[in-house]
Amino acid sequence: MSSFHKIIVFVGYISLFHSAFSAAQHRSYLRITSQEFTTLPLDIVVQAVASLFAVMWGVLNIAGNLREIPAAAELNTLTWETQYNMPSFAIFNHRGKAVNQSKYVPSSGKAELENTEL
Amino acid sequence: MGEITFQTEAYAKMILHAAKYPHCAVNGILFADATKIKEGAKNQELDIVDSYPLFHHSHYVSPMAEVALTLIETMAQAENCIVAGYYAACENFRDNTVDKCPGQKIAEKIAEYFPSAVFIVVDNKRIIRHLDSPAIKLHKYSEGKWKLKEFNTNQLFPDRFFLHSTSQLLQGHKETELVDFDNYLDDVSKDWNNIKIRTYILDDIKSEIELIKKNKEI
Amino acid sequence: MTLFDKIVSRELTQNEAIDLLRQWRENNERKSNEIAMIHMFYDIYSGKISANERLMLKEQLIFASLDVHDLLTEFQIDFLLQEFPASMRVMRYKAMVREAKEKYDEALEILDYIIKADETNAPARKRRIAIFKAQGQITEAIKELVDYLKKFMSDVEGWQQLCELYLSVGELQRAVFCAEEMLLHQPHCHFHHQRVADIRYTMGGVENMELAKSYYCQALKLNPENMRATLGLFLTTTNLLNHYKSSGNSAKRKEAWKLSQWTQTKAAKRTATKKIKLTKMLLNLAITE
Repeated sequence: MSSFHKIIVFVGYISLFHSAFSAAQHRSYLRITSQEFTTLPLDIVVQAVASLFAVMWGVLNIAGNLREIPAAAELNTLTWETQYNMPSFAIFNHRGKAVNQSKYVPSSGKAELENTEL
Repeated sequence: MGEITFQTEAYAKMILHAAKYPHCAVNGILFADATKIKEGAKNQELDIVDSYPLFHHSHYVSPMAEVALTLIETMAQAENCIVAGYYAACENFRDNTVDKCPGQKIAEKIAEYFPSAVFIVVDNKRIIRHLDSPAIKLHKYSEGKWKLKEFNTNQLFPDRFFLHSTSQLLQGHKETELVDFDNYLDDVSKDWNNIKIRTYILDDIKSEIELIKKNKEI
Repeated sequence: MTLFDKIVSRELTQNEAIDLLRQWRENNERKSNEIAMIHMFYDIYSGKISANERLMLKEQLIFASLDVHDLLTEFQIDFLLQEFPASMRVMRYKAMVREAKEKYDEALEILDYIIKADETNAPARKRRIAIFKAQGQITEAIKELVDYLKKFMSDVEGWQQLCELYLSVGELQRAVFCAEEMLLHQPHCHFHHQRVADIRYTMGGVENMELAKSYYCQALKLNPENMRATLGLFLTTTNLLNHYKSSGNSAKRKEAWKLSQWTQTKAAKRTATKKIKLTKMLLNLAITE
């Protein structure tokens, strides 16, 4: 998808330069034929404006996701599920040791249980 | 004497909640069947039929706890149950006592309204995916304190497949489908009744019974 | 079909798995089991990833394996050490492995060495605090964290952790201070407003209720979808109405009553399920005039 837009931007730039070159050529032609310069011919103007919009549209698509203007808009999509995690302070001494480790065997000795229950 | 029975659904939801958030302290409420309750009797017979997982974060701030408890009261009345207990699991692997559990105020409030309430502490050391023991500790309220009570597994759990059903759910990683109150607050369309879990348990019991029948025929 | 079923049955493509891992990394999610399973079933490093992302994935896997208590974590860290021989970051992971095995003294030794070599190394100091937390020494952890925050004042995560620690020991006044610090650093985040309001509500008293009400309103202004703020506001206004009924302050009573009505309609619109009647509950709680 981005290659299509890159092509549009490229073609747009070429077209823009072409219209600028055409306008310069037009003016030098008018100077040579000693005519007064009033306005540029319509086709050059149309080409310039169209290529401007093409470049703008192509660049917007290449630039990626635009960010919202209200500062809170991005923050509103978060939930507490992700907010309560503090990875730098995360401890590993939790029941994941028993639940998620395949080699864990709960000890059946009463002595160990009595010691750690105090 | 006050005999307590625990149905598989209540037990499974409790264990799944603890397994879903192994790095957090979790808590929840237990419902008992109201039809078996006698008014004003001490040491009631309790049949714990359901459990509602509450929180896995923000344990020490009260607004959501108040909302949850009010909601639970309305639901209990609608389903002809009463709030008969509280369960909690600690964050730290080595904490397995009532003092270290969060939400003790909630438990005390429950005991205020229902003196025969139970406090279940989930034993962090014994929850494994192939459960070989109930992994819980039972406490009853007496003289202002929660006192540990010994129990007989076969008496407490009338359904002999309860460990098998819960282990099946844990091995299938079904705890990710459990919805607790925090999940409900984040997304109101989720089902806090956890009917999916109930269907899984019933399916498992059915298939176990069929397996036993087949073995008998052979 | 749960995510685990999808991973095991290979319904998830490798690219989707890499995207999921990236999403979890950016959103700060602690899905250690899922991460470990994905690495078990997919060869992630052979996918389309940049060199930077490869290292970030390795770090993510190390953290997840520590969480799941996977015994192969040491080998993963040794591979990283070969790539970055004198790295403090990798040494910190070694300390985390010792911590996961509950060899706290060795872990503290390594972290102290890192801090001595580099005084500005904030993550090593944070791991020290985590070790105190893991051992259950909450007061020590609080002391260390207060010292840390005196030096690194703009660390929002540190303030958040201190707030949680104060809440767990019941020092609500100090917890509110920490939550307000978080608010100063991130004024557009509705979570912080809601947090301050929650703590103020828990503290109780009319002044705190009024403050809680204004913080909940601000949270709702920033994020109208925050269900906790809506319900919190409802509870606060009900509480205030109770109080003002007896004291006869009619202007404030009217304001509280209007807000209460507004939150009721708002909450009623958002509940989709028919079984759980949130509105019925709200009616039960509400005070009718």
